[in-house]
Amino acid sequence: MLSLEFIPSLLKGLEVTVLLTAAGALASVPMALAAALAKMSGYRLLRWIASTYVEVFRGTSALVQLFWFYFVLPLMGLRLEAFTVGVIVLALNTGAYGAEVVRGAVTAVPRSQREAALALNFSPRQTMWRIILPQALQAILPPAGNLMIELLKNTALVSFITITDLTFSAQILRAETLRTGEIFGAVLLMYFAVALAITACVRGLERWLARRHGSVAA
Amino acid sequence: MIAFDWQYAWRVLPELGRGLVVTIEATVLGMLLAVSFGLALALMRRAQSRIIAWPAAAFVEFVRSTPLLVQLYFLFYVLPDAGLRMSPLATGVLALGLHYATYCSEVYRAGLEGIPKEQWEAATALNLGPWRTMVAVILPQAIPPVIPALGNYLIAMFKDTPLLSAITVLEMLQRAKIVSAESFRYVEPLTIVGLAFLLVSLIAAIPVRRLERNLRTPGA
Amino acid sequence: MSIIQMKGVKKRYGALEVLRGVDLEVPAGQTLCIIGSSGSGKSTLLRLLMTLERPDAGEIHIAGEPLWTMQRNGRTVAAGARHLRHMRAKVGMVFQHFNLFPHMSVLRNMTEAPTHVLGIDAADAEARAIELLRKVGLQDKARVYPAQLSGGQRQRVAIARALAMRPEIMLFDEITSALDPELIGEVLHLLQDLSREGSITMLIVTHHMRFAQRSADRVLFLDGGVILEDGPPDQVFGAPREERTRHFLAAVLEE
Repeated sequence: MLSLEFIPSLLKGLEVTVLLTAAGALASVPMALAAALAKMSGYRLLRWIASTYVEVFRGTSALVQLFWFYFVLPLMGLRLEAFTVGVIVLALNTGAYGAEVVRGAVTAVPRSQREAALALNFSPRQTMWRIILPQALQAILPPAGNLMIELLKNTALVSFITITDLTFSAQILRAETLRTGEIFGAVLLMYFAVALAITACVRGLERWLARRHGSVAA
Repeated sequence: MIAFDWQYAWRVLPELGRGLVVTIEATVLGMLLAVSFGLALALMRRAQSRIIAWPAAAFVEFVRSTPLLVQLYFLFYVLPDAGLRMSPLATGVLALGLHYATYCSEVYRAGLEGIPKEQWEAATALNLGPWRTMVAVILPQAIPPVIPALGNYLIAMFKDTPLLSAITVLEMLQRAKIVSAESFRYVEPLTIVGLAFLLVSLIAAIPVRRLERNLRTPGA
Repeated sequence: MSIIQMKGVKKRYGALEVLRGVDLEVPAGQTLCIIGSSGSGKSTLLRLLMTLERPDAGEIHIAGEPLWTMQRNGRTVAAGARHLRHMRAKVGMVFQHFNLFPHMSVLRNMTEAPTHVLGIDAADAEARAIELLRKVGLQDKARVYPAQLSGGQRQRVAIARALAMRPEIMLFDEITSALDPELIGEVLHLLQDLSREGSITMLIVTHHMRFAQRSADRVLFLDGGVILEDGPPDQVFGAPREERTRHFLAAVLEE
């Protein structure tokens, strides 16, 4: 009943999707960190820039962002591959949500840690990078895992700008074979599998971190 | 830099405005479906019988973790084959509603878990049936605290409506694409659409944040 | 010359005036115990010295240098970040809730600051850390994480960590208040040993009166934001001059 000759073509699309997700995730980390640190900095201009970035990318539709960058960047003289545009927009979008996650986690680190660092005469930068951020990491992981799943779902949008990801491949196959139910069913299962893998990884990371430090206040 | 043709922008505004109406229509209808079906899903997951609880849980996990776009295509192409002919807008509303129902069900679940066991026990002691217990005792306490979270999902759904352009629904982005294709000018329509989303999101966030604050102070 | 000089120091939090004019001179090497009821400003006094708080009025000098002002081009200006870090290097503090870094092993807690703040070579820092751990009796806990230690052990590590920075002044802010009773002794013992060495100036906020009587060179009674009683332990505990001191001691020794 279920013939699976379309699976190999789908797998090629899956590869693109996974690459997009991985690249987008990696690129979103510095974005989230930079925006969060900027929002907490003492310079008003930095705070303003970061706030604007976060509000704009969280307040607008990811698809619209993709379109805008895809069509407007060439007009500004930047001719980039569609894949690159996809990664950039996905990273910017995820980074904006990530910034709020980082900020929440950093402010949750007890003030006493900052005081201890000050008493030992660490500089503000040393305090943030050596003392605060490592501790914030534990609170960042669970929401970050959810953001990664959101990122995975958003990669489907790049099919609109002709990147041959899993969704785009599915559409091509559908046009060729008209076997929609099986194709899209398989596609949904593939996305689900990747989502489960991401969740498993994040949970593994959470457990490793908890084992190393314990959540007891020292 | 790019030149922004204000005259052209002004000219296309009415057409994009018509798209905004469709966008809002889709959001409102989709949300109505999401909050009601979401509640049903949440209640099903809490059911004693595993035949009800397990499929509901599987549905929620599966739909939550997979792209709305693919679910949209699935419904658009598969439903007619199964004999259900719906307009693109109706299909879009169905997809949005089902997808966001899973998010809402998680929100409801959190609200329901927050009700102390004693409330259920008191209702049982007064011999209220399960329906009355739910309607008169549990839900009035469970739902208000989660309204801000539902509000946030309403805004999120609004931002997801451009996906409906994939199945030819004439919402904002689709009209922007049509207009741009005719005139070969993309910057103005896309920027307007982007700003429209931003504005509506920011404005809609105000009552949601106020609700959050009001609900946080008494209990916390 | 006194290593600590405070003149007319005032500090308020909102409408609450916690320190209402404190004058204090502490000679180097002295062990000074500060007693008083809660809210009398004892912790605030230490936190001002550690630059965790800023005084609203008055002057503080550490080792002859002003804490909150500095000289620039011959003029006196408000202290900049570099001046504060220079001054902070002379002071170390141990907190009520230990404040160890939970994501670092005991050894790393002790070597992180010496390596990255003082620029000490990693091997030297580690050697010194182990030496200090031996001094506090925890040399076999070097690779352990704070979560696996008892409260008393954590506090001893906190003391060793502060000592690793070789400060001239050590501040102890009610360091036994968060400990279970049976763990208090080991920490007080350590304080006593440190005090006997005499090389570091120690300011200890405490409510352990017997400890203060035995180990302190001098006792301060802080009440209502001012120093009410100031003298050797025998005098403050045995023959207090002020009525309020007598009142406080009577209430405390009741326990």
